[in-house]
Amino acid sequence: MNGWTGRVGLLTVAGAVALLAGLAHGQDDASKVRALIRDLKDPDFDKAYGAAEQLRKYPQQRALIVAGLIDTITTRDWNRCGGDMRQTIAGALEELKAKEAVVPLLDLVKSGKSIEHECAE
Amino acid sequence: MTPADVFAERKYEPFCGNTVLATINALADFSHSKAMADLVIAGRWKGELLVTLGKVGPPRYANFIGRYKDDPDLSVRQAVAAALGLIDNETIAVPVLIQLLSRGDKKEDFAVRWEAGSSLAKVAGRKGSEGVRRRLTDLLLERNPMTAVLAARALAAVGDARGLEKLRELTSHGDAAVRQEAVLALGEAADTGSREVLVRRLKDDSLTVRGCAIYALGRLGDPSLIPILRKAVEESSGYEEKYGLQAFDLRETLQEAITAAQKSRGR
Repeated sequence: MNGWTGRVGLLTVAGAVALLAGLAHGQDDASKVRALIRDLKDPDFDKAYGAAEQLRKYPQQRALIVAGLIDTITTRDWNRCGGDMRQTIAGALEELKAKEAVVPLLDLVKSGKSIEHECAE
Repeated sequence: MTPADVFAERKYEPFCGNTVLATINALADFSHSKAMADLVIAGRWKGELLVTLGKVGPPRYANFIGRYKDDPDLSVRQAVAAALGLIDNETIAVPVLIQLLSRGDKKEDFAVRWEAGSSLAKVAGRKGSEGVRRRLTDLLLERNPMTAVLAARALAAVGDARGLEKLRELTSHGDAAVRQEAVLALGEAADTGSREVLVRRLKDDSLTVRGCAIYALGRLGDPSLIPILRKAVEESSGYEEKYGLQAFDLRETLQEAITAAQKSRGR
């Protein structure tokens, strides 16, 4: 093996390691996002609100987050401040420019669930 | 409270405090029109959804929006006025807007009339809008002076000299409320040609009108007016002592006017 071939081999290995590390990091983030979405669906308002705030840190996991936010806003309820929680989730969907959320949001409006500010905090 | 606060209060913000509807408004497109119209028919969040329909709906939805012009809820009528200024259908929108601008003399109707005027100004600002300008010009002859003021304001907003001329004329109307609106509209238009009529209003019988004149003159961005404004406030203080505080805080209004005039010098 000459020097040139050796350098190419080293670069290939380094690239593969970096790719695997990136994938692992992505998988790590994805599992964190999945855990946060579970918390978001928790009936406890404080836990859910905290999770909604944390989700903002993972914009690269957009697809996973948008699907989780839409499912949560249309199907879940909280022990208090449900309207505020739905507003928070809707705000996150707007930040993510999630056009696919419009139909579910209109269904939410149709459902008659509270979408109004209810709590002081 | 200052005249600038009055403008801030009049600014129509249908989505203030409801992020769900604000998100729908931000993200919806024409394909969601039918679903929104169905919700309006069902009586859910009529005003907010009518505004979004005006923003994204195809032109034929102007008919649907116009159907709510007589809604008993003032906020829905206000939404109709706003929505028809957004949708691209002058033929349907303008007659409804003219009607909304012209009718109702109750205090609470004013918000709808004001919004209709703002929407007519938007339509008049578009290309090929001679039709709406003609309709607005006809309203300048209305017997109801508030209708004339609002129509003149819409024309003035698009730089039409007929509107500015009518506003100047109405600054000497017998009704202080009409003078107040005319002066505010000239201030909004920041019309330098109105300097003399506005200076005359600094001695108006109504302190509210004087406050509006201070605001309007500040908007002209002419620092040479500052000593005149200071003098007007000093002269008005005797009035205030005699009759108590008026609608506007004249000192705060003066301060805002000075800041506005000085800012323009910095430009």
